[in-house]
Amino acid sequence: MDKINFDWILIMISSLFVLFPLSIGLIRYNMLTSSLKVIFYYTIVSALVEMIAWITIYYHQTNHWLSNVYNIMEYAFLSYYFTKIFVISKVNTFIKYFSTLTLLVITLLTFIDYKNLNHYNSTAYIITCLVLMTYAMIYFYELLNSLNVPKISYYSHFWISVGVLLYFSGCFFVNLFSEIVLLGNDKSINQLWLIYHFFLIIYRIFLAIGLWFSKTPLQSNSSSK
Amino acid sequence: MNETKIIILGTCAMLLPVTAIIVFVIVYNRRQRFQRDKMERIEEMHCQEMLEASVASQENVRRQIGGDLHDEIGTLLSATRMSLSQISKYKDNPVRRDLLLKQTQVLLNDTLNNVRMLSKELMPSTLYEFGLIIALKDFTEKMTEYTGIMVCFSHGELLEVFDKKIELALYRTVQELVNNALKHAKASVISVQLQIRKSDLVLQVSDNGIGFDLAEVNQPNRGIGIKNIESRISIIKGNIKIDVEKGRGSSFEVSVAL
Repeated sequence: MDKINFDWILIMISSLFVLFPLSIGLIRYNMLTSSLKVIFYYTIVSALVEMIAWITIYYHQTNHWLSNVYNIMEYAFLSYYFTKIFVISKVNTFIKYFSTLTLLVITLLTFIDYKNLNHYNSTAYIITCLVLMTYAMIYFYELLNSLNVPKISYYSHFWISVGVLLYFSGCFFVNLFSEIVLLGNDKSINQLWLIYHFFLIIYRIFLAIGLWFSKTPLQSNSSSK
Repeated sequence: MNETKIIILGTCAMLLPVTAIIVFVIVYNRRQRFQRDKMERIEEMHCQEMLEASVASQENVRRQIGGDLHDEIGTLLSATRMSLSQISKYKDNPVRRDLLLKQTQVLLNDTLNNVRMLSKELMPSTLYEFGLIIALKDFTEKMTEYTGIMVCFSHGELLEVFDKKIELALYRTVQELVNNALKHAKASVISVQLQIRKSDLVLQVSDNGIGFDLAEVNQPNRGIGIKNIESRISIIKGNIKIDVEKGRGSSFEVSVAL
């Protein structure tokens, strides 16, 4: 934190934006359904991780281990959230098993990687992004087939899924390019990480919108989860 | 080079999901509008069918009243008129005249009884005076007596009198269903049950007859009786569940929130 420039400001803003869904979640806590509570707890964990990250930056410590561990937690929270919002039982069961399996793979990749824990593990991140993007798209497909939401723009899960799709597609490209395409070109990688923080801000705004629209009635053929 | 790559990458990463989401919202809204239109059309058709069933039912009742008036009361009154005109011919024969007078009296009594029966059919006085339970008891007992087919009625410990609109709708429903079971189902036992379930009044009518194909009955211009029942039940904001299959008998459950 020697020099405050535009990059640092963007990173700080993206970190501070975690307070946005967190405060909305706190305000509307009583209205949150069980699946939205998962998102709320996830934002609490995100806020804690952001705090620890800033502490490590302050003490000039590397915090890649934190990103790697956070990736596992993020995947666990979001995949659990998706298993709670899928209505079709077959899809739900498949996603439960698949999520457990991928969580295991991501954890193994993170901890049993030949590189040490302090090396940023983009493979685990790429898997996380791909799986969560797929979940969001499957959820959109399910929404399209059931048509049980009267006003989609007032529906929590829609906004959260939009956020997940946008953020993880951004992350996916960033991770893919940072590891494979740019091959250690530090300046370009830093620019890529700025794009990542831009996506993170958008993601947190969408999470906040999702938590705000926590009370939207569904049509009779489905129940609110 | 790398900066260009990053710009392209960033734009792609942003545009692809954004486009997907926009397409999703457009398709979703279009599909929803299409479904709403479809539902409205179905509802309109259903209302039309209900209306047709109601009109057909009224026409049936009118035809039945017309038939009864013409065949029974009309015939009896014609006979009375003839009998009265005969009396004037036998001024000098008091024995014959007294006989004709007695005959006329019998004819008038029969006419009166017929009028009473007709009016009772049109407006069940037992229902208005004593309520649904007594009226159903009376109706099922009479049906058993007249047809020889067992029509059982059970109401447990239920003795209440309900809203008149509900009572009339349920009474007519039982009449229609019992008549259907007798006419078409070839049933040997018909069971009518009335009970309170939570806060609903539940009426169950079942028989051991030959059943019918519900899809066939739901065709337009068919199953006016069933549509008529649905129409009556919808007026009192009730629900009807039909469990029927060809060769297995039928069971109808009507529930109305009290």
